[in-house]
Amino acid sequence: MPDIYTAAGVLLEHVLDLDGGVSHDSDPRTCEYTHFDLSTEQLGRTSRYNCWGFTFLPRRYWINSDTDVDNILRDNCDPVPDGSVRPGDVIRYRNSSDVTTHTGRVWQTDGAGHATLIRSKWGGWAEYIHPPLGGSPEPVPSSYGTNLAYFRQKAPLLGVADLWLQDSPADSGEQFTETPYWNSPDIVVDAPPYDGVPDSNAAFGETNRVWAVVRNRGDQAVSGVYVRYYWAEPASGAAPSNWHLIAPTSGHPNPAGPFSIGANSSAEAPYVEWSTASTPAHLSLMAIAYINDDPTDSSNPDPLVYPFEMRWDNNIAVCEATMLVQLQNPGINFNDVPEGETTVRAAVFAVRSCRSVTLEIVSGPTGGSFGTPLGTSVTLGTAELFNAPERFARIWLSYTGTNDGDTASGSVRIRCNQTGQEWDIPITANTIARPSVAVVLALDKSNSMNFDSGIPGYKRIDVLHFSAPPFVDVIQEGNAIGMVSFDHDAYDEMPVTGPLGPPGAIDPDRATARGNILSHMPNPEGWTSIGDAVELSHNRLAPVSGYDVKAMIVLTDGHENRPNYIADVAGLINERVYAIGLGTAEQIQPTALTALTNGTGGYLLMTGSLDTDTYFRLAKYYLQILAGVTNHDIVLDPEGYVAPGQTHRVSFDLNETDISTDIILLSPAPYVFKFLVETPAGQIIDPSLAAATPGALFVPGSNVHYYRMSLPVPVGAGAAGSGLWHVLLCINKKYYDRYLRIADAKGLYACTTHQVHGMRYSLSVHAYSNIRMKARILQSGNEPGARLTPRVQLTEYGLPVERRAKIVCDLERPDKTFVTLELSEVEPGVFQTETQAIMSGVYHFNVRAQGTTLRGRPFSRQQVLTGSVWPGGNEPPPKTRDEPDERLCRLLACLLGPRTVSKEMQQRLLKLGLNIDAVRECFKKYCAPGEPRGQLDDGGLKLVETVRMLEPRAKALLKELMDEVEP
Amino acid sequence: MYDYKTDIERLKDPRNIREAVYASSPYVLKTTFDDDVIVRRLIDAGNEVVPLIREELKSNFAELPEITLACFAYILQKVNAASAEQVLKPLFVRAAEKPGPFFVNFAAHAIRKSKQLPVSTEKMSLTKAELLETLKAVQDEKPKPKKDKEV
Repeated sequence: MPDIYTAAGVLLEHVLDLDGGVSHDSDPRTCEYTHFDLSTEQLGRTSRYNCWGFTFLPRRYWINSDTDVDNILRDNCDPVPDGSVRPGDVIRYRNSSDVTTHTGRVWQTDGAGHATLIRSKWGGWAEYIHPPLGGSPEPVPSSYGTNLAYFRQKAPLLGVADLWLQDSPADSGEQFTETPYWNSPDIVVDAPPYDGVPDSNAAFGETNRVWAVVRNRGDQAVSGVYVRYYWAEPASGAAPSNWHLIAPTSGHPNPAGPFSIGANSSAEAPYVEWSTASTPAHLSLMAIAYINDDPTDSSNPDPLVYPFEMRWDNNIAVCEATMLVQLQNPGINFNDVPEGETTVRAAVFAVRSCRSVTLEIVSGPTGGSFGTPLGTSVTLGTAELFNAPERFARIWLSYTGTNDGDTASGSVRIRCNQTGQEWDIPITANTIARPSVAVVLALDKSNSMNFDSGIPGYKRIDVLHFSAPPFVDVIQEGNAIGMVSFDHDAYDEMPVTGPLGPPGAIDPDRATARGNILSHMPNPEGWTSIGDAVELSHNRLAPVSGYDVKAMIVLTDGHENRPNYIADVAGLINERVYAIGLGTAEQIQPTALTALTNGTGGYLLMTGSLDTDTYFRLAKYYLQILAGVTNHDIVLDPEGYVAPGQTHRVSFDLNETDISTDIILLSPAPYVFKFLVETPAGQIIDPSLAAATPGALFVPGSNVHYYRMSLPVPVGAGAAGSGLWHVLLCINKKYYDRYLRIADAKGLYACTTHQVHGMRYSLSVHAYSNIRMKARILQSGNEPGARLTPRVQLTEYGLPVERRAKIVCDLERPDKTFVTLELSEVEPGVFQTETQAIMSGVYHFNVRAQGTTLRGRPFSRQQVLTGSVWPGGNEPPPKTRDEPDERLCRLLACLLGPRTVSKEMQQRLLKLGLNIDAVRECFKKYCAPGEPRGQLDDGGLKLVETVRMLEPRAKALLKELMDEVEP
Repeated sequence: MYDYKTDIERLKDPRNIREAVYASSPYVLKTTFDDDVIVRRLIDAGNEVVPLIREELKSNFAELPEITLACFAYILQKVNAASAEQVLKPLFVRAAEKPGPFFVNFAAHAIRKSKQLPVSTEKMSLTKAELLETLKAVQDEKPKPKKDKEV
């Protein structure tokens, strides 16, 4: 029995070398031990070692005094605060007299540095895994006390040998190694031609030499050491049964040894010959250094503590012998990239390895048109798990669309630094024109458009006249526009006309569209048939060709009360439908409209009650929808008043992902403003500079002025692109006074507010960009109590903007209360939150995103969403087939049929002045499928009304009759 | 009269002493004795139990578990230090040939206390030097004159 000392040289005076085997009483709570032949043994009761012998002298001796233990903790360990505890740390128990009573090793933590499970030997009894205190069925003995402290061993005891292998370059030799524990530098693979230099990968289908470097950190030499070598496929896990002993060969037995190791030194174990299969695979090696594998052999100077527990036993090490890196896509194709847009595609490599893997571009991309926006190399870090699933490494390439019809080709060569593999990957690309859109505006002309809008002095039709023309002014060149109006029927107003010319007053098609909007007037007799409007819009869009997207924008201020209903025609619609509800949720009851828009990729926006604070709301909705149908995003959307003498300076970020921008000023009199744009370099762009600059223009329109600029803008010393831009707004006093005089003369409400606050404006900055934000509202129902879920998706070059953005939305409830909600990133680039719609009405969500691009430059996005609930909102929407009219038609068919009216009767009636054939013709016409209802003449209408009046009294009788006719 | 023989019989299985089998040191073992109802009852019984324990040790020393031996030594020492020394001395000499973790410490503790050698009142673990010193003290004793009856 050797003398054993602490690291400070203090003799442990109470170490006992006791006899005693291990009891094999079955006790399911005790720990198990696996022998090399994979047989297992229950580590039952034994008096060979106690808790302290287990903790500090792996199962070799019994330490019989807390004094020795306190000395070890003082000299060989550092205290660890609770909250920083790691597996493998020492737990010390003390009782109320502050005497050390027990120790063990932390077996598991909660991830927050708190021990959750301890492995310890309970006196002369057995080893258990238990919680620090309490537990069941047998709680931790109360005699150990409840005063717990944690320590981390930093040095071995002196006087004993201690074999070990490094689990990783960071391993210091303690019994537990943090992840990664499968990266041992002490296992060496030498593939043919056996140059003695370690190879990072074993050769497949060859005989490789494998050996281990075994260390002895004790101050006693040790002899009779053996090493066993195993291999495994990590994907199958680290369980003992998954390890295969490398077959011994002549002259190279496995286990290899015996050999000796001096004190505080290391030695190379003899090598074994490992013949691998020729099929590439992900393989690992394990080496176990040992004297023998009997944990109860008292003559063993270095027993294994945890056989096959790679991270727990310092006599065991694992390394990866081979890794697999395979290219997943032999070619990269950029198909149909729109002009000016940048698209990214990746060369994807499947990696089966626990190690860090680096792939890098060694040449290319050739072809001139391709970029590497995310760098020329990618490194996958060390895997978190020994049996890590297949991982993927991506090297991203980009292509920016040039001119319609252009093609490009090239190649890129990528290398894996760890395996030395190289791949030549061909790249092809082609450019197409920017997607164009044909859009139909469907405008409500029902009588309710004559009603007050909520803005003093403005009817709803006035709001429409103010809000819709900017859409016509701002829509981009090359798109097409059409118009229908509707009350209880739908009417052609303007055929789908395009492609539109450059924006400006001189484009005749735009002028026609503007004129149609301004001459659009309500029908005092008009009801509301949204289904007719949608159907007619569809019919006008259907034959149009040459546009990538077809869309309609329905504006309505009431709920549908005349057929066709939306539900009647929804099945026909394959265009994208956007809708604007001018009014409250109760007025519009948009169940079917919401379903229709959501189902076609559009969305519904509701104004709710309008008031002076929501003056621009409808116009902004039109512009937002315009941005949506033309793939633009809204960067910024503020409102304000500018008084004479003031200058408003509104800042916004543009970045390298932005292709072009529209800076749009909405106002009842935009000509009153001096409207300028300042580039990041401080260059001022005014209308005349815009007109003289290629790729830029300034457009004055109806209630709107705007700049449209391709980025970067060639102004100043350098082109203006990424950076902080500003809009400068101030008042031209002369025009302002003139406007006030005109407004005053017209008695406009706006005159008063403008005199008080200054001139009112709304500014919208749109960007055609590679950063895209798509936002939607999901509703669990349409009645109060429903859950509203704003869901936002952010992408850059089509890839999720992952952990680079923060999204909030300002929620305005129907009672005008406000709250700001933060959206959580529920998956990469997807953000979501939820709120409950307790009260009836419209909920406005102003979604605001802020983040950074892949190159670290700031961006912002905004979008308005609305949700609405109202009593009865979950009722199914109206549909024609449920109308009494249909039953009426069937009834009339029966009443006027030959079974009811005989030829005789028909002749008698004719003599009396009633021509049944003519009546039949009337109803045939009325009831024919698909025929509009407005075709009845006065007589027909009167008859229908008469029958309707009869309906309540005749209902029961008619039902009987119907049942008889249609059993 | 209480049947202390039954109590002593029960102590022959250490699992009947509360948490004693989980003790890793003589000190912890002592605290389990202090908390055990049976042990305390026997100590409280006083000299009445000494002959019973003495007889048990004399007859079954080689077969008794380490913890039981320590427990008997502890009870004897608590009841009557002088008589404990007399009972434990020969057993201590035997046990010191191949000492276990507990009994030699409890026996040596009782002997040293009786002989007024320095002892720790709390920590029952003796160093090797202390054990050797105790052994030497026992072995160096002059044999006492023979009496008619053995103690």
